[in-house]
Amino acid sequence: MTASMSCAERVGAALGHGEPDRVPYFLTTTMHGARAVGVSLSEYFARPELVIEGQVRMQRRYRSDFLYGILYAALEVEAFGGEVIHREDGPSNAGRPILAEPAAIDSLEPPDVASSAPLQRALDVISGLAAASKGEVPVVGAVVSPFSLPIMQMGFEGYLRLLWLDERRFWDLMAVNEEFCVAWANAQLEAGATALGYFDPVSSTTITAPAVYRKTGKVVASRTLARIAGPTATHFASGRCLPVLDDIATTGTAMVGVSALEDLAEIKARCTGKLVVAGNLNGIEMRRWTPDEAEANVKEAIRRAGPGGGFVLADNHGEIPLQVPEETLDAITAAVDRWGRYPLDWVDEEVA
Amino acid sequence: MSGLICEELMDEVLPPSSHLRVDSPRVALAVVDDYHMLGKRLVYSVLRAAGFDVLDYGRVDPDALPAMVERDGVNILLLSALMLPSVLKIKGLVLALPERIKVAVGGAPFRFDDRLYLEVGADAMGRTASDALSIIRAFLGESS
Repeated sequence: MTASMSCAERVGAALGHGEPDRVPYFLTTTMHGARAVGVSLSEYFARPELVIEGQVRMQRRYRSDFLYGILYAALEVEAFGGEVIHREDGPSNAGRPILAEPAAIDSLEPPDVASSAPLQRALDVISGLAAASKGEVPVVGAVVSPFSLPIMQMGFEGYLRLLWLDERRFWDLMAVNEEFCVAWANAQLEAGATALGYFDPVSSTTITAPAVYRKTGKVVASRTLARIAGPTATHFASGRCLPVLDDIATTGTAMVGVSALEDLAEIKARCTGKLVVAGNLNGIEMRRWTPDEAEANVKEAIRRAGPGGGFVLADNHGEIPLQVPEETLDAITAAVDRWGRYPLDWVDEEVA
Repeated sequence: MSGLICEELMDEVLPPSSHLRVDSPRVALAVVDDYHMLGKRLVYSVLRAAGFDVLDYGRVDPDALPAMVERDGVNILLLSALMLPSVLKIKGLVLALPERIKVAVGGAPFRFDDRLYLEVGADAMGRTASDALSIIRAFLGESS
């Protein structure tokens, strides 16, 4: 692949809603890095130097346009004193809820980033990736939105009961989580992150009705993102968002990560000039794609959302399953090189 | 919330121990391997609201489930999983079950790959909690 722009320039052009030299793409190979350095997932996430090495190897092999500094979503619950259940075949999960009863919210305090060993581990990863990047490749960190974090703090059912039955404590919890989220986000930016993923699956219309989202998740996002000192991409971890795209565009986020279950062309049309669209390759199906199917899916996504720029090709969940073979990721890389060069004349030629 | 209200009503009108609960198939549901319980909870709520007796196994290790369904005389097993690695463990579980047991699955990974439920050996897949009712009725129709 011969590129005329650096990854940073390419992503910057897309963020400016223009057409770079080719479609930028993010392969979120969070866990594949462990395989590349030959260690278990639990050892990998425990040692920042291994994550740095793994992610640099991933970026060089697949030539994606970012370095991904995320470890696992449950890291934030770990910072609150919760347990994390690691496994060797998939993502780490939060353990027993730290807020067993709503009354526990009354004495909850946001953790201090500087004194949290798990968070400092993640910051070491980000600063190491920033050093390795030398400004050429964007380094992306991540936060879980204050509105979505309670899924891990309370369990799904406990949180939904809080949301519907205990309004005062719901907003008290949001206040604590917002303070933490802002501090954690800005710490990552200070450590060298270029931008942050703002993971907010509970705000997706898969989970929350638009009318409820507008009174809750949207309010929280607008307040939180206003205090984060860098660009963010709001991601719904495969959740749908089409009915609330106009709302998302007012929260202050620059980009939206969208679901494989929604029409990418329709989303792009609604977002043009307002939000950069990232998506929407299906990571679950990807596991069984042949190389031809990988190419076809990449080509289709580029056809639907690439023209005019303002698009980043990515998977729809924000993390590619470990079960996706490396050969498939190679096929995706080759397909972006073949079909992703702007000005994407082939799109008009195929229509004509 | 409506599901919770319906459950409370059904507990009052037709409690589990009621003699009016006749010819109810032995239905069990479980979350396989992972810790995401909401989907199972919603299915439980729908089935209880529809008058079904349901054995809720909670979260189970796949290796333990075959003995549990034999012990309890289960005819229909509904399995939920949110994590892809947990879904893939269902295949070995289904192979260990007696053939008479009908298996339906649900959870986010199945909504993203229409062939996944076939790959793990399930008889049906539900996209929403309310699909559980039509699936059970279809299973009962096949066996009558």
